[in-house]
Amino acid sequence: MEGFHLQAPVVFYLAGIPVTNTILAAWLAMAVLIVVSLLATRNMKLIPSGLQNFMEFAVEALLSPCEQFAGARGRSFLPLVGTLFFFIVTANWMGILPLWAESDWVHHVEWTAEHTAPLRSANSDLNVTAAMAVIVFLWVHASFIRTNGLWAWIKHLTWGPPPVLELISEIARPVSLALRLFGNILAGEVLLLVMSGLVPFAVPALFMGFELFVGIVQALIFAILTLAFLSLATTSHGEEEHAAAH
Amino acid sequence: MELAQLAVQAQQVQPSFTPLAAGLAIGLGAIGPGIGVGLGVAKAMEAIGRNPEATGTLFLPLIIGLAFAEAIAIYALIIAFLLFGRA
Repeated sequence: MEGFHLQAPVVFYLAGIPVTNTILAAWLAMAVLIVVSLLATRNMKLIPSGLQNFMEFAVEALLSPCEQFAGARGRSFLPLVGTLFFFIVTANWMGILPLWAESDWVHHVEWTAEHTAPLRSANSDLNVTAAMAVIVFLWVHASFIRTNGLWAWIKHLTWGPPPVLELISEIARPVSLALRLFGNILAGEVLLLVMSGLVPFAVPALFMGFELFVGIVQALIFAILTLAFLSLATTSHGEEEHAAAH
Repeated sequence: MELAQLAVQAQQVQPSFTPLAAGLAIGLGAIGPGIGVGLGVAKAMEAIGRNPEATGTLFLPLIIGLAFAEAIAIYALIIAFLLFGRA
């Protein structure tokens, strides 16, 4: 497993900013999503067929828990929840392909800045998952302030005793979101590398299948948790709801 | 003498407990989640045994619950990776 680093290695520098192989993989996932979206919404028909039909099915499958959790407001959560789900699934599933492996015996490219693989599963980088978790954190708290006002937000954060308890709980949420996704995908990446090193034929396919499962489950978890946090944050706060949340 | 030099060098080498720490981190850290996952699945099996039609209803909450329990083990694994990558 030589050549695998916990911290993603830099592939090239863009105007002085380092671009790691995980960022490249994230860009590729974005490109795939954009292309598929454009293809699915070209010549849209009222009665869908083909790709449009499939995408409508996927979006409705996400809309259903949104409206289940949060009722009428749920629809406004769909852009964030849906984007998170689709991006994470696409990035995870693309990362299973052998081209995305980062190990000396898979890749040793001289043109990259740190002489390692040019691609690696996007969510195997804590920066990527933490970025999404920070966005969720900011969005949730902004929604809270928008629904309940600044004073209610301060009261919510200093709920006690002890007053710092709620603040710790709020900090723990994006941390756990980021670490859960990062840990799962990183562990899967390492697992695939080790298994490919042990038995190069057939056996890695089993673990790739497992990674397919893990990839979509983790995407679902991230999206559902975001939905749950948003729903909790945007309920108009009464004392009984506050007590129920604890 | 060669042996004396080796003995002096051996005394100066500080043993590193980092690999042990990495092993313990994931080993002990996986106990809790292991029990948690087992409990979750056991209860799910029991529910399915009592009411086989509930399998569809149970499946998604079970998977989500398992992912939460698994996340704790993943945190321990991350610590093990961090330690493993150091000394």
